[in-house]
Amino acid sequence: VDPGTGSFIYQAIYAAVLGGIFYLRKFLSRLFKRDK
Amino acid sequence: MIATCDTADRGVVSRSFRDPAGTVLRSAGRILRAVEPDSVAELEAFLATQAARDATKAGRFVSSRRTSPQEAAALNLGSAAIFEHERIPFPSYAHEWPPEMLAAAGALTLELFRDALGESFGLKDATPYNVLFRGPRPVFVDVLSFEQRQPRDATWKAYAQFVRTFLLPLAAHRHFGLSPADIFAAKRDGLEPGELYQWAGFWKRLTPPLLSLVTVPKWMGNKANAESYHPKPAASPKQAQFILDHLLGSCERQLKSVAPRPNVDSVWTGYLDHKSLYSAEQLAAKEQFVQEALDLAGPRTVLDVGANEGRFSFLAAQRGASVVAVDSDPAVVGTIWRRAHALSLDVLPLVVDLTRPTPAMGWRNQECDSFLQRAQGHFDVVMMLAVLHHMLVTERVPLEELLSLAAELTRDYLLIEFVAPADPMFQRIVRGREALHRDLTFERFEATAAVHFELARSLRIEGLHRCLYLFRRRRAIG
Repeated sequence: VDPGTGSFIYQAIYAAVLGGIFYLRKFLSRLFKRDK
Repeated sequence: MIATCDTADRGVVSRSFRDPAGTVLRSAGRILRAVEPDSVAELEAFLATQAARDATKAGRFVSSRRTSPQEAAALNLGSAAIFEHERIPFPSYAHEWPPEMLAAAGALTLELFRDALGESFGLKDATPYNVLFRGPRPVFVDVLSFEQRQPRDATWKAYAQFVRTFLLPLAAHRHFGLSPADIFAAKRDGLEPGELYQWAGFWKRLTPPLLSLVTVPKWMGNKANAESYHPKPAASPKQAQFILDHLLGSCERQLKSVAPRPNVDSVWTGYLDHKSLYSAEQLAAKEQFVQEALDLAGPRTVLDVGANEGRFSFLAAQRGASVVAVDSDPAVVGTIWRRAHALSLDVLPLVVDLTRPTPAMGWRNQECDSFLQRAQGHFDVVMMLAVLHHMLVTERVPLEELLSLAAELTRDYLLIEFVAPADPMFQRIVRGREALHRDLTFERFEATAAVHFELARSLRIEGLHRCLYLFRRRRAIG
C-alpha cells in the first residue's frame, strides 16, 4: 500500500470533484425525468 | 516484487518480503508463494472471480494453484498456505525494458484493475515489478496485489505509485529523452513529481499532461499532512464506483498521452536497411547462412546479442524458437517489441549491454537476479552478429573473455560474425588505435574459439572483411 504525497492529494481533490459531478448528474437526470 | 529464475536450486529460497500477506519462493525450479493464513481466503476469492479466470485464460494473469496439504507440509514453511505459479520462461524487469514495454505493463495493470473493480476487488499496489513478460506479452504475476474493496472507498491507494512508476518515467522519456531502464536501474520506485518539475520549463509545467501529473501534485505535496491520507468515504457504493471508474479512465488517458511515439530515431534505427556496409546480395547471403544454421541447430531458446531491430531474432522466432533479443539502445529494442507484439512472435526484447550486463538488484542483491544469472546455460543458440567488434574495440573486452562468456551462455551453438580490422566499420570505431588490434586475424579468432567450440560451418562474406561462423560447444549441456 503506497499513499504517496502530492499525487495522492491530487487524486483526493479529483475524487471530490467527481463526487460533485455524480450528484449533479443525479440531480439533472431527476429534473429531466420530472420535466418529461 | 518477485524474482522467478532458479539457476542454483539450493532448496527453498525466499525472493520477496515487501508484502506481509505472503512471500515468493523458489524450490527445485518451481515458483511457490507462501500465503499467510489471514490472506488465504481473500486470495482464493479473487482467484475464483470471473475477472481473474478470464485474465488467466488469456495469459494476462499468472496461473496459480493451491498445493495439497501434504505438499505444503513437505516444504516445512509453518502455517502458511502454499500456491504454485506457472514459471515465466525468462524473467525480466523494468530496468531492462524499453518504454514501449513499460507502457504495455501499465496498460495491463489498469485493465486488470478495471476488471477486478466490477467484482469488488481493488489493486493495493501498482508497480512494474508486478509484471513479467512472456515473449512480447505482459503477464501480471503478483496475485497478492488484489484485495477486497470497501464498497464506499473512493480512493485508489496505489494511484501515486502508479504515477511514480509508470506515468512519470514515461513522461520523462517522452519529454526529456530519459530511458525508463536507466531510471529504474537507479530508482526502484520511479520518479517523484518534484524531479520532473525541476526539469520542465515554464510552459511545459502549465500544459497537459505535466500540469496534472507533475505541477499540481508538486504544489499539493507541500500541503500534505497525516489527515490527507484518510479521505472521507463516498456517500454510497454507487458514488465510489463512479469516482473510481472515472479516475481509471483518467489514468488510461494519461498513459496514452505519455506513451512513446513510434519510429523514434537513434544511431542504430534502420541500421541494416540504410546504414550498414552490406549490399542487398551480401545481406541475402548472410540471412541464408543464419537460416541454415538455425535449421541445423533447431533451437528451442535463442539469445540474440546486439539484436538491433531484430531481423535475425524474427528469423529464429519464425522457426519456433523462444528468443531473448538484447541491445543497449532502447529505441531499437522498442522497435523489436512493437514488431514482435504486432506479429505475435515469441521475442522478448531487453535493453541489456552484454559488456555491462544488468546487475543483481534489490535488498541484498537478491530481489532481481542479474542478467547473467538468468541467462547462463539457458539458451540453445547464442547469436552475436556484427557485434563482436564493438565489444572488442569500444569496450576493450579481450577476445578470449568474449568467447568464454559465449560458451557459458550457450548450451549448444554459437552463431557469430567476426569483423576483421580491415573492415571499414571496424576502422570507423577504432579511431586511430589500430595498433591495439594488430594481431586480430581470422586465424587467431578461429584458434581462440577452438578452446570452447568446434567449427560446424562458416561463410566468408564476399567483398567484406567479415566471416560468419556456426560453432558447436565442445561439451554440450544436456
